[in-house]
Amino acid sequence: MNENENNFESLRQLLALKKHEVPPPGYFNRFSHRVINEIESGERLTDSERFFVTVPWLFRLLSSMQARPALVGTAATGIFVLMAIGLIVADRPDSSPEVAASAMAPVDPANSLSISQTFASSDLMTASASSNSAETASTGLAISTNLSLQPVASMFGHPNSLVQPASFNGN
Amino acid sequence: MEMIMAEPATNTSTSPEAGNVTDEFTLVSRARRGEMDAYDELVRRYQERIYATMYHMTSNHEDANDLAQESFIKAFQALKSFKGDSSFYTWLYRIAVNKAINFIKQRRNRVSMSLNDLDTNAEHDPDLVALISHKTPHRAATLAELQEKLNAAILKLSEQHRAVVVLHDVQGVPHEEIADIMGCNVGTVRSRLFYARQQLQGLLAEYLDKK
Repeated sequence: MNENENNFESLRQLLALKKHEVPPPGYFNRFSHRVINEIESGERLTDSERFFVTVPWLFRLLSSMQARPALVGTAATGIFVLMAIGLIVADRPDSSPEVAASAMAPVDPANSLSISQTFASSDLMTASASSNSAETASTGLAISTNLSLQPVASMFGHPNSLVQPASFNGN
Repeated sequence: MEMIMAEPATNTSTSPEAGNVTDEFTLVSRARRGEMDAYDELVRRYQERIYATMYHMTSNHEDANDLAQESFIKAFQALKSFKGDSSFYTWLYRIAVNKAINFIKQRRNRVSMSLNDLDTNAEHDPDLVALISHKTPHRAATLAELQEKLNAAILKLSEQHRAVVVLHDVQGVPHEEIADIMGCNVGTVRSRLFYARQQLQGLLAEYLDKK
């Protein structure tokens, strides 16, 4: 071990330089005062601060996010892009299920199967569903969701003619 | 509510305040009862050493300031869990070193130096005089260059190796106490110290050859 110590003698001399690195003059004069102030203000925590104290994992998560701004930025951009694509696709007038399904429909009517036909005798069949099934029977495969899942009114300015406002006044 | 605290550790010979164990025990007991003037006295007693440890591990004054303050605050909050198995000084050091190690892990890829100035005694330190040629005309510049290279080399060490070399070679903490602070055995401390010195010697070979 002594031999090892001797091998590092010049390194030890160089490390002595670290002992001469000192903080700005007067730095320690108010250090303890700052610590005591922090402790006393910590005892007067706000509700949100108290929440972080009681849920330390959330604080650690937020801290780790603060430590990786690039990663968080990339994730946020990705989410934004996905939302933008979703909005654009949903807003397109040709993105309704019927149109999309008819675009996928095979051209041979002999081999076609209409899901709507399997419900032909159902009591739940509505008039509009019947007319749809009649149309699709001649064109091929089509998926109709009119039986139980009515399309909701669009959020983006296209009124849905299939949905009628409910009335409870008995008229 | 009256706090019950274990007797202070009897093996406190390595603590700088070995003769003030009773005094320290009294201060800790009072601080646990919420007497802030007692804790203020404890902070004053150890602030320079805790700050120095944080500074030498981060090579950044602002980070060291934050870490030192946070260490004292955390120690106060955890005072109820202090059993007295070791001295308050060792216990406080353990909190501070763990805090610094976690900080370094989080900031591994974002290291920035903010070095303190050298005091006026640096130029007359016999160890440093031996390293620098008397004929060098820009002696202060050479010391500043050495300071920067030395800190850059220390920042390249892993957090565990950095802690050991800072505690032992810069602050003069004995192996046994470092083992207690870092929660490992003395053999591990010696082995980490040897490896850290080897790494530093390799990184600073150019400057060490000037002797």
